[in-house]
Amino acid sequence: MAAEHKLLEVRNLKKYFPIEKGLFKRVVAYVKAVDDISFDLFEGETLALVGESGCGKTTTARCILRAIDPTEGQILLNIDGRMVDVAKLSRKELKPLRRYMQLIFQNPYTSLNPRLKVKEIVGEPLLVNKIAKGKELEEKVAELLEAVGLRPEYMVRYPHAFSGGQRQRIVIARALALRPRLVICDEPVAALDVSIRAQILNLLMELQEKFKLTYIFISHDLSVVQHVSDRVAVMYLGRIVELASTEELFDSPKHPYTESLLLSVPKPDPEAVEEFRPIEGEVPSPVNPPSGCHFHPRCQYAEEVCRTRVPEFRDVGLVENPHYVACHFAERLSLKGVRQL
Amino acid sequence: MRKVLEVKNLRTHFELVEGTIRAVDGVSFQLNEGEVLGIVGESGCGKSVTAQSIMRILPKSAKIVGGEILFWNQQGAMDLTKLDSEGEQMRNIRGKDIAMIFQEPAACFAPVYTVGEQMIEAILLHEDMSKQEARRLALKMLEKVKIPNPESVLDRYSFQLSGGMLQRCMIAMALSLNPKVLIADEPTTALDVTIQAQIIYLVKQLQKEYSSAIMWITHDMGVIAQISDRVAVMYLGQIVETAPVKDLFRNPLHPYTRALLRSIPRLARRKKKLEAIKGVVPDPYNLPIGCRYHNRCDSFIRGLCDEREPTEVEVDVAHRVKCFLYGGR
Repeated sequence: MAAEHKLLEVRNLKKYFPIEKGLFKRVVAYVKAVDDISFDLFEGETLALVGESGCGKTTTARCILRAIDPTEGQILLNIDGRMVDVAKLSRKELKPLRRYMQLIFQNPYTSLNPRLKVKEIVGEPLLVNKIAKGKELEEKVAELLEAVGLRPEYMVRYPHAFSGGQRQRIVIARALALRPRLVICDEPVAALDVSIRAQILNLLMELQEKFKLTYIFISHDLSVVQHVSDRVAVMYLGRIVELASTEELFDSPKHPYTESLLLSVPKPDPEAVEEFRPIEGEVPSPVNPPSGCHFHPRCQYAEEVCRTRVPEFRDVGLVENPHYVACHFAERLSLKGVRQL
Repeated sequence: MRKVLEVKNLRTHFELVEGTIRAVDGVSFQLNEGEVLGIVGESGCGKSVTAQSIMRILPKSAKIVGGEILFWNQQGAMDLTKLDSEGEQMRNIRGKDIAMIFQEPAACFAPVYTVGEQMIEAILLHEDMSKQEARRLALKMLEKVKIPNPESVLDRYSFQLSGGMLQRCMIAMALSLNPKVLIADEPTTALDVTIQAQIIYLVKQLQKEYSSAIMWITHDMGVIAQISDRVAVMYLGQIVETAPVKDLFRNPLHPYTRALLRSIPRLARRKKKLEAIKGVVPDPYNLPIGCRYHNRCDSFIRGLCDEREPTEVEVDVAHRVKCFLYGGR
């Protein structure tokens, strides 16, 4: 592990979105987007949240940032040694804490204001927080642009003059302006072309070292996740089903869903065509999730108990290398990791 | 192997106020019966425009300015570029002989008709049969693409089905008339990995039965490796390398192909830094002179690559590359 200091503790986080019906907006059901998840985040590490669309990874991120209010649970952020529960703070109390956490969005075409110059986009957080202005502001912006690999002269241009990869660099520069501790990257390379993806991933890793950043890296792309992260949490229908160090998770997964995700990734190797086997079925609706273990209807190892009891999220790993999994049969199953594929 | 489609020196340009975009600029390839040709490239490389040129469904600002698209059917070869894109002949070919599936299945079905109505309409347009027969065929096709409760899906609307289900419906619709050529334009890009795996697996199974030639367009090297028999790599409107899939991954020749393969993160191979391709795809309004890849290339030869355009060389059996490193002067 990169460091022993906890930067963030998420405890029993829940976010339910009500479904309203009729004239009086009667609440008829809830979408359990995030359903009781807990995890720790250590300083300097990259924790990946992976899963298919609708599994709650973005909702988790938005709760942590308090872009939306969680329904229940604690989000403890370490601010100079003090654990502050972000979930309980009012908007006003939250304001000074916002600078500790930043977000990098998926689509750099929609996350930059087309009417502002790069100088204004990257400089705005500094100006709003009264950190710099005038000449000093310009110097800081120039510094940030250089850090993300853009020429400082570009600051007088508007976003439309940049390519997708360059725009993503601007987004990153803006996120770093306030020297945050925690950066949440929400699918930061999903909208980019293959040849640009590698550049941005390299940049994110470089910056992590340089600015001592802690990342929560949200992605559906397992090969990207394996490349950048120290630990991985796999989510399915609002719950974390497995959480372990990257190597451990990819080499010896303990949850059948993780195994099927690994099997589903098309490998860039035509010799491995035979090993490519899809799992059946689709992700069920989060409004009416299956009983017991949410994955049981698609799981080839499912037994009666999976239908009736929710598996406990527990540690089955070693003391120095914890491996959390929510499966009744985690100890018994021998699942395939990427090396056996 | 019989040729079903041959594209010769195809050039499709966009005339815009800002200038001309040579989206497809001298593309040649052939498609044989029963094979899957993967076309891979980054956005703006012209892979979709190539598909739209074949289907003759280009936007108004685009024009085929040169080349031939030869299509073989019972009557022999005909050049699709010579046909009126809205004429009867092209309308008969489109959907029946050459079918296409798209990236966004939800955008391809009208929300006001049921999936069944739309499938039946497409069948009746080309086949002389009764409505009941068409419905039976549609039902049979939905079973073929492994849709659970096909009978009820026929009577549902597109917004009631998931992306994966709709993509299956689109494949069923495209294959219902047993087309000679199926063009798939990024059909799994909008889907989740587990669903993508299902669709790829399904298409591979169906292909054994239907023997349609498939042109599969994608930007994902993983998908290419899993589905294709042969691969064409495109860069800025041109095919830079064509090879059987195993040759391409084992022995990539063009510097662009090599760089692409090196830049993708792979499972089970963790390394701290990825080898990125330097620079960005150039501005389409002013393409580089000479080889279009020269300003990003590791093996750039001054005075040659930036002055003249390489010609295509056949390096190995069916392995062709457009690069001066292998001749082509």
